[in-house]
Amino acid sequence: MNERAELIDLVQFLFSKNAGPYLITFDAIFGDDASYERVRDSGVLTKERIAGLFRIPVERVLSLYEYPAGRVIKFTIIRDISSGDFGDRSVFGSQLWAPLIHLEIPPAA
Amino acid sequence: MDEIRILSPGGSLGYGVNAESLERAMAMGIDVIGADSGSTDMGPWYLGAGRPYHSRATMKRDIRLLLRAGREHRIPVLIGTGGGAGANVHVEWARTIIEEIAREDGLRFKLAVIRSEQGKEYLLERLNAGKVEPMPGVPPLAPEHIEACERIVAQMGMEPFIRALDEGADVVLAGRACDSAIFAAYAVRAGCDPGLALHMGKILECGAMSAVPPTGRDCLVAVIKDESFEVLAPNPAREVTPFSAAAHMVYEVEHPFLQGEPTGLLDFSKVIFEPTGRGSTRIRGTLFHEHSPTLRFEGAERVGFRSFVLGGIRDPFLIQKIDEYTEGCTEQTMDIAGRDTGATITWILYGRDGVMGDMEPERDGPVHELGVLAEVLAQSQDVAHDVAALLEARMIGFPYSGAKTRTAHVAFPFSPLVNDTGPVYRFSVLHVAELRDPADLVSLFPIEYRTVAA
Repeated sequence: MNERAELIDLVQFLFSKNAGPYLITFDAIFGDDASYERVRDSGVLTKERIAGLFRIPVERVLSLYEYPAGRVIKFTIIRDISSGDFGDRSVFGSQLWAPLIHLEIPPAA
Repeated sequence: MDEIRILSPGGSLGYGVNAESLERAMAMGIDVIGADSGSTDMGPWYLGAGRPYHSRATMKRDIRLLLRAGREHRIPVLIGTGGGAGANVHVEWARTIIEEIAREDGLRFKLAVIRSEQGKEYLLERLNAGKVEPMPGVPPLAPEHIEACERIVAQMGMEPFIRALDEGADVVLAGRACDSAIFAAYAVRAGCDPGLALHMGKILECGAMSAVPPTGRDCLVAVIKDESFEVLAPNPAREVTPFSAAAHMVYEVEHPFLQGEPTGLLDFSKVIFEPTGRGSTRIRGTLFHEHSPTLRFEGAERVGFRSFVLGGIRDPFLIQKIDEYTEGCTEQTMDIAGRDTGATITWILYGRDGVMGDMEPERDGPVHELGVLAEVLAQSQDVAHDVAALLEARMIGFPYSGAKTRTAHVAFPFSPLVNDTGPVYRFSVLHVAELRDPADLVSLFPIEYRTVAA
């Protein structure tokens, strides 16, 4: 736990999915408490950081939640084009999580 | 209260039910089968165009499995969001499949068909009364959006299902329905706590997505009694753990522990997940904050017609000049077609930023091959086609700077080169309306009964 890690090293699942036609929600699901707590306590995932990673205004990051019962950290962004409208690129909101892969997580305190 | 056993055959009927798991589950003793058969997930086209989402052959196979199981064990089968989007045309599509199976298999049962398509007056009146709110991230509703919608549905809760069961329906085919309601209705009718039953429905609605390994393509069973319910996977290759069940509750939703239902807000913040020691999980502690009844309305508005041209680029000199090329092709095309056509051209460049668009952080990385999808939107299919044909002719020969090829810039995989995909829709209505009268929870969803026989 004392070495640097990337988010991908600590998660069990990491993906994006539509939450209705106007939102895309990102779930990081952890397989053990230590990994979940390390990422949560690192404070690395903030609305501002998410906006930066996805090159969107912070107002488009609707919410960011921790859910210990499921060892989940999730955030939701507002689409610029709703699902299936002209110009949309991902009807299911899929495949948008790659910018999170290399997110650096500092060693646990 | 006796325990009630509810079966979910998977995340969506019509994807291919796991027949072996279904049989295992039925052998455990099941009281009711619920099945979700639609969503808004696949976009607005199905609602707008009035076309089914699933393969008819697979839907028929899946419904046949459920009807046979239901009839053999004399238990009700409840199907929600028939045909994928739940408008009248979708429900009709699913009804003909059910009746066809009954004829072919010699089944006899009382079928309830619950419609969810809505006229525009009710929603307009609610909007004028100030009783309509957008879902998060959705723009406010204006009357012209309601008027422009091809079809509008309301998402029913448990109440119409309960009414159909009261009337003795063996099989219920419903239009647009809350996933949770399909699974909760039977239990609530039998006296279960609505919040707990709806929570159970939330877990069941995606089938074995709540299990490990997770999949929406397998069965899940819940056993509800008194203050808790147990969730188990009939397939011995899977188990339901406290974490797998809890992790699923955040799936495809914005809030991890608050979720709206027509008559209240489900609150999972105090929920306790306990392992049973036999590969299943027991869940208790759901809170339900009741409020005055609301319904979610969904409407698809046509925004135009699409034609597209698809090709690939392997020329490194063109890849270097790709922005000059796409902008030049667009400009030349619109010069000839005329700006007054009202056509719009967009480009998706797979290999550069095709999936993520402006959100792509690695847009400037090395690229050796680009997939090019050029889309045209216009107010008629003919105009979209004509503009796309012009665009294709520019794409093949546009003289970008530094070109080593005189023509033949793009490898097109298809003849025809221009493909017409029909109308494009938008979910203009995705709004929650407070109801005029609680009775509207049932009255907005007319139910028709018929005895289906071979």
